[in-house]
Amino acid sequence: MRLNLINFIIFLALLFVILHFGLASAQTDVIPDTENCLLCHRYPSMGRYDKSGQKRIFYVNEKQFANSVHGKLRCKACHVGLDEIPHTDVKKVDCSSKCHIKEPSTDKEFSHINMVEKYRASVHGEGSAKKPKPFAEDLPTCKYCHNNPMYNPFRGMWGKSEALSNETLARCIGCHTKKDWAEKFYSHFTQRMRNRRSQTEIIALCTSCHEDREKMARHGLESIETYKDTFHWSQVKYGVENAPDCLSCHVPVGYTTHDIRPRTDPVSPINIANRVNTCSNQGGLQTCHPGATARFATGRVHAYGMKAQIIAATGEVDGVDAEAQGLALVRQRAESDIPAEDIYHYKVLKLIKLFYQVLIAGTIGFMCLHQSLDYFRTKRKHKKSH
Amino acid sequence: MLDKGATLGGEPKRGSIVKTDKRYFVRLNYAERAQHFIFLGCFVVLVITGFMLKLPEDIVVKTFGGARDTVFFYRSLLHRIAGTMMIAVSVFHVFYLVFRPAGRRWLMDMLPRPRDLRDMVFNMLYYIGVKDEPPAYDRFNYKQKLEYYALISGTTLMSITGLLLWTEYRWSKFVLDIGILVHGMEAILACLAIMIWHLYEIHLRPHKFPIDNMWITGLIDEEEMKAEYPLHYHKIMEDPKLRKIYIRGEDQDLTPPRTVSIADLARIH
Amino acid sequence: MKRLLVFLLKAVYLLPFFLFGAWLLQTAYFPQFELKESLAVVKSPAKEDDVFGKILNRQEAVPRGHFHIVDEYIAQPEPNPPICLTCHGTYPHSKNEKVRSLLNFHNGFIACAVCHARRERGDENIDFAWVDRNTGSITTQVVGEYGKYSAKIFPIVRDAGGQKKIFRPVDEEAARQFLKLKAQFTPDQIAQAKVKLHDHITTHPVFCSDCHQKDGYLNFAKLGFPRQRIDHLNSTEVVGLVAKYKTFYIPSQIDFGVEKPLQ
Repeated sequence: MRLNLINFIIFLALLFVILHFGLASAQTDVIPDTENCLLCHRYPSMGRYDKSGQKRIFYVNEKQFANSVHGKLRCKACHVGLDEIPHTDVKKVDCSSKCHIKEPSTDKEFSHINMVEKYRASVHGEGSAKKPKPFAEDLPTCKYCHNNPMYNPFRGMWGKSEALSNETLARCIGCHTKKDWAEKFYSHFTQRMRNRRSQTEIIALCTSCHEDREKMARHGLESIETYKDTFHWSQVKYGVENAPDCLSCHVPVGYTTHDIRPRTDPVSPINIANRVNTCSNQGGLQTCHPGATARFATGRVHAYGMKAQIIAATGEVDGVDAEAQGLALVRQRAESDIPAEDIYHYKVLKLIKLFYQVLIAGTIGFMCLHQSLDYFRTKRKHKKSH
Repeated sequence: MLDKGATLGGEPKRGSIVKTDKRYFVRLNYAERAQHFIFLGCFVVLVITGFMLKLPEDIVVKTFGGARDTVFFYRSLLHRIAGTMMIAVSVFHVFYLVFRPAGRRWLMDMLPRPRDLRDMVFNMLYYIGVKDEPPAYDRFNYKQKLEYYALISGTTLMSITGLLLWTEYRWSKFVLDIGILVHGMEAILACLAIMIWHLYEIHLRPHKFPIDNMWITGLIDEEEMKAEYPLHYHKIMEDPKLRKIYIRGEDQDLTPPRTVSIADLARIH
Repeated sequence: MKRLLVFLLKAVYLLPFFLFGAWLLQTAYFPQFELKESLAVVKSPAKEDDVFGKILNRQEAVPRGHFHIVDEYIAQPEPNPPICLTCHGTYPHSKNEKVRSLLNFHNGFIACAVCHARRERGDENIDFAWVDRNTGSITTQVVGEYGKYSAKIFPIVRDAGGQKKIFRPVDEEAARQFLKLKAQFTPDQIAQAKVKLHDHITTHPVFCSDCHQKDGYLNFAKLGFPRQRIDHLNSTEVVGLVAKYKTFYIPSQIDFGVEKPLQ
């Protein structure tokens, strides 16, 4: 009985502590840091280098975390382990795990598993168990593309007006009286109303791998630099809002970034069968080529790059040494990738370019010679006559 | 084109050529100057707005900053307007060549002749010092003819490829690729040619610096006419009809002003 | 004179045309994207062990793949860093897995010399003070919280005239000279120079519990920490944590490559 009483008192005390902390942390911009992780992790210079020489930052900005999509989660919801200090038992964060937040549409525990599964089956996934992809370490992980998405500040958000946000929010608060919650909810769905990243950011993200020639060659792909020869890039360069970045064509409306498929896949937006729809971008906010004809849409968008060059080259590659074997692999992949007609196109374009290069060199060379001769002769004549 | 009868019948009036410095020769008439002026404007606009696309990213961001999408909008608009105007001027020029007497004269004088080839060789010989004098040119010398035909072909190519790119959704990517390539390379060729061939002639030749006013006044003086286009000079002097067309300041009391402004363009015919 | 003027005028007039022409030629003949380079990489891929080249190309303050949004404090440049950071970097502690991150976070607001040049007991000459990040001079005006301070704690000494001066156990001038001469030194000479350079560095650096206790090595109150914060720094929360580490970690001698302790 006595023991029970003590237990009861402890229980009350605990309850009080929990309630106290709970109430104290019900302010915006503060994480319910019940685990007291910030005791150490709020210091910016916390970090080290890991075994691969990579910089690891262990700093968490409290306010920014609180304003992020994950702001309501405890640290341990994602970082499983962590029971020991120093953390020797920490496991890698798994985005496909279930967290103890209810997904409101189904009332089930929330998880990113849907996306992760799609991703695994996509071109960026690790391949099937039977046929795993080589160089798995090159494949992007969740974190490679995603950082903790922040809620947009009200200013400069959807509609670009703070007033609009306030007005809309005022309507919400009429029924959903808890302002904190309403603000978060509003932020949560409006942040999806526009692209979070600018076109140049998207391009920087994709090219961080796809412009790495070595990495691409390892997978029999070619680097993407020829994108910068397109008119698409010229527009992006100037920050035109309607300009197409990588996702505009590879993930148009109705597709998801997690499910990017190779061109040969019939569900890919850049599959020949789906091209007209992709170029005309029906149903999206972007207006691209509304009147796109099949003739227009079925062409190659990126300029012909290395692969075409390899195939078009007349010299044979003998597969004796490793380097040549790499080249042969790329060649093999390229030949299956690029139809003969494209190679013909590539050769014609190459020829036209060569023609112009010779023409320009010849013309300009002749002109320079002619005019300099004229200059010195005329000068000399004037001197004589004076 | 020369009217032999007129040449024989009309003696050059020696007496009237008293003050040679008061006599000017028409090189470009009003219509031609207007065409040149519009074409020049279009060309500059097209070059600037066109090559803006080729600027590297960091320079674009540094130069235009946050307003660069607006810049792009006006760039595209101006490029299309200037392109359309240039095509319009070119079409007008064709009409001018066919339907106007001055245009027909221009066309006949501009036709390539075997003589041009000979002129070119002789001129080269003159440049390297084998000959003492340059060949005697008619109204247009071989340099000007070359430039004119380069301009015709260049404008045609640029117009066609430009219109292709403007209506991109109708064409296959292959055609567009060729269009883009030709449009770009031709633009480079045109710019370089204009800078070296044309700008040299009017800005940099000895005694032409800083600028030859002829593109505004349309006139050159007798001394220059004799030196540069002696054949034409003699043809004009021998033909009263041509004298009426090409000579200013002899019969009319019109002296071209020393300095010429754009506003004078309308006044001087 | 006139001819020179005309020549200059011509040059000024010609220059933009010349530059424009050169650029045009470049776009026609040497486009930014050169296919040959791309082919060359496939033909002869860079050596696998070219790790240093990769590190050299790494410029981002926050590595790609870092999930949590960080603020400007991560990439905050330090205008007047202690010379130690030139060689040891911003995360100098790496040896002991258990404490390296904890020690590294102190590096954000405590200069190396505070812990690595131990003040002898009773040595009243050496004191500690805030040194402004931007100006590099001793200050009492410190703003910020939790490691995000506008200043950094340095050891200071009073010279003969009673003037406060930052105490630098490693002579900055000498260190710079050493870095300059390093390439000419033989390995032995480098080892000797290192010993000389770290002459005043203690082999028993100040450790957690030295400060995180009542009346510790650093006088928090004198440094201007508010009462509440001092209590926290010496609270069971922190001190308890610290005690835990002590069992894991006994600060060993610093190894400069000269005297290798027996394993």
